Amino acid sequence: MTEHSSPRHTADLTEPAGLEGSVSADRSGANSGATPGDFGPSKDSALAIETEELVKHFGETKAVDGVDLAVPAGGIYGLLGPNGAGKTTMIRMLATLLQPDAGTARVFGHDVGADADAVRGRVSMTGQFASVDEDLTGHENLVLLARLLGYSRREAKARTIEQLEAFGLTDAASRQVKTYSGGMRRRLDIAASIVVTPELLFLDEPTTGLDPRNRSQVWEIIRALVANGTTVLLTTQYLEEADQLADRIAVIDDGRIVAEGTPRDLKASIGSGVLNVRVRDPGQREEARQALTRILNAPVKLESDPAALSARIADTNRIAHAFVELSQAEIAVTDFALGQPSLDEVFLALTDRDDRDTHTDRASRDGRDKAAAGGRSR
Amino acid sequence: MTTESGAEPDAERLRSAVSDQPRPPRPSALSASLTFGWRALLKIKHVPEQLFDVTVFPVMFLLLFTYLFGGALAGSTSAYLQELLPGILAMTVVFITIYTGITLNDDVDEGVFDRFRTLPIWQPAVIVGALLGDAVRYTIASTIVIALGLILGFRPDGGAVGVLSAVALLLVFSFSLSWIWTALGFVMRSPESLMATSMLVLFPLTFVSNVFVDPATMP
Ligand SMILES: Nc1ncnc2c1ncn2[C@@H]1O[C@H](COP(=O)(O)OP(=O)(O)OP(=O)(O)O)[C@@H](O)[C@H]1O
Ligand SMILES: [Mg+2]
Repeated sequence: MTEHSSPRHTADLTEPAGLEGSVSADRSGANSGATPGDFGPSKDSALAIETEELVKHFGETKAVDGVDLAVPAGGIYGLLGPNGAGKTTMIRMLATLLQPDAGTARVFGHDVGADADAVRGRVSMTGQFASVDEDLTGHENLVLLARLLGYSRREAKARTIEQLEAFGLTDAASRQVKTYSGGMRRRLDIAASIVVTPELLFLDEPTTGLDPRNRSQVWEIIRALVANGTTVLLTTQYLEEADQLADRIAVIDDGRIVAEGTPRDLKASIGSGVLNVRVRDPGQREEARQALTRILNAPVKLESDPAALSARIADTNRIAHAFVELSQAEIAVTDFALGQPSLDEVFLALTDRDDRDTHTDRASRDGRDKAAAGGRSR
Repeated sequence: MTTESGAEPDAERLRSAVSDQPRPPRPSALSASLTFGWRALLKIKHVPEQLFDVTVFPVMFLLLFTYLFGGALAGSTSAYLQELLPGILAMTVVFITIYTGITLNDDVDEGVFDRFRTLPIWQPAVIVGALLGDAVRYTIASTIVIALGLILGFRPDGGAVGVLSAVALLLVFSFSLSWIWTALGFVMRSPESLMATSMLVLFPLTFVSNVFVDPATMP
């Protein structure tokens, strides 16, 4: 590791108060977009990634459409978005694989275009689809990368054996990667990305398609890297994952950042959760809807399942009342659950408004009112 | 062999995978190229079919032409073999050059290429390495064709030295030619279209050239 992962950043992580303070200042600058100059020189050096008006179009498709991102060094930054939002395109530009059409992107102060080699010396990437050689064995893949990263033949072998052991791949080491399960392949892919500990690691949907056990293993390794000083930029389609891992999240949709902040901010801005109710008799659904609307003082949505309803709620205290109300009205309920808002709902809440641009630098409390209003109008 | 259950990575072990060693110095351009050459050799080892194609094809041609047309075209099979073999040799090796382009195309699809491109190495090393791997393929294919020729009764005029220098010349020629396919491999979308294009160019060329028939007999 070099000067960029200075102990100062790791120290920041252990002091949430300090982190909060510095990033909220960053945020106002990053999201207003027009005023990138707001960053003081000292703050610049603490940024792992900084983009200004970054644009990438594929023909008619605006994959990335003017993104301003400021990712502080140290910690985990989540890029959250649905299929086709532009997450992979963002990562590929930052990892020097794609030339931006317009705007600038800097990684630890180095331009990804003009200074690509300096960027490559600091980052490493695990692509959305396995970026290992299917024809070679797991062992050969890791030795190959270790050699390309400058290890001697002996060091490369030693490092490979160490990694295979740590990732539980020793038994499969001499098999071709094409015979690996999805989880094994992912582990090998991540191992290949950290043969040399990078200062910045890009992980493009590292847990998509993994079972819960493999997923938590991936989370574990990410946390271990961060404890070691690496900055991680992670894309995901799962709100829960971003919530669990990320210190900050940018929500991206249609190539644009629609919200940015800590997971707490973000969730606050879309209400505290979703109440899902299933009635036994679909005929009573309308009755249930009226009762819930009255008690929760929130819009209640009829789901496609003829017995199910859902409501986005801001105030969890009313849920108990709602349950009582339903049983008093003698509506039999088979399912009554409070869940995190799904990503769908996050997007509806964040994009179902006309003043998309002003939203991003709004404080969380303000955002919550807006979200409720947005929901009501639906 | 049970794989996943036997060696389940736990949190403690995973943490040990994170290296706190300093980054080693960058490899030289030569070392990176040789490493990619090693990768090409591993590919030959794991996917020997790629050798199968390029050896069976010329062996088939050699046998077919020698015994079917040999008598008609050159008077006797052994006389025809003297003319045919060097031509088949050239043709074989030229066809192998196509593989370079295809290998690179596969990489681009697989995403391995993405990883290579994010490494702080001399970037052309990927291509140079692939071409080095090809040189090995040329050598193997040439050896097989010549060995078969000798069995069938081919007696080179130039002796062993003549054959070796002919092969060496061929290697240099193919090495240059493979750059063309490599360049095309970057431009073209799919391996299939690259294959089709290269065949389109190569087939008429080999038939019009003096591989199969003495040019004197051509119109
Ligand atoms: N090479 C390309 N050529 C043409 N269009 C592309 C290319 N790469 C991406 N796109 C388009 O750009 C948009 C954004 O794609 P991108 O892969 O960045 O999305 P994503 O957020 O990673 O989605 P997913 O969650 O499905 O991986 C999509 O509409 C996609 O079709
Ligand atoms: Mg993607």
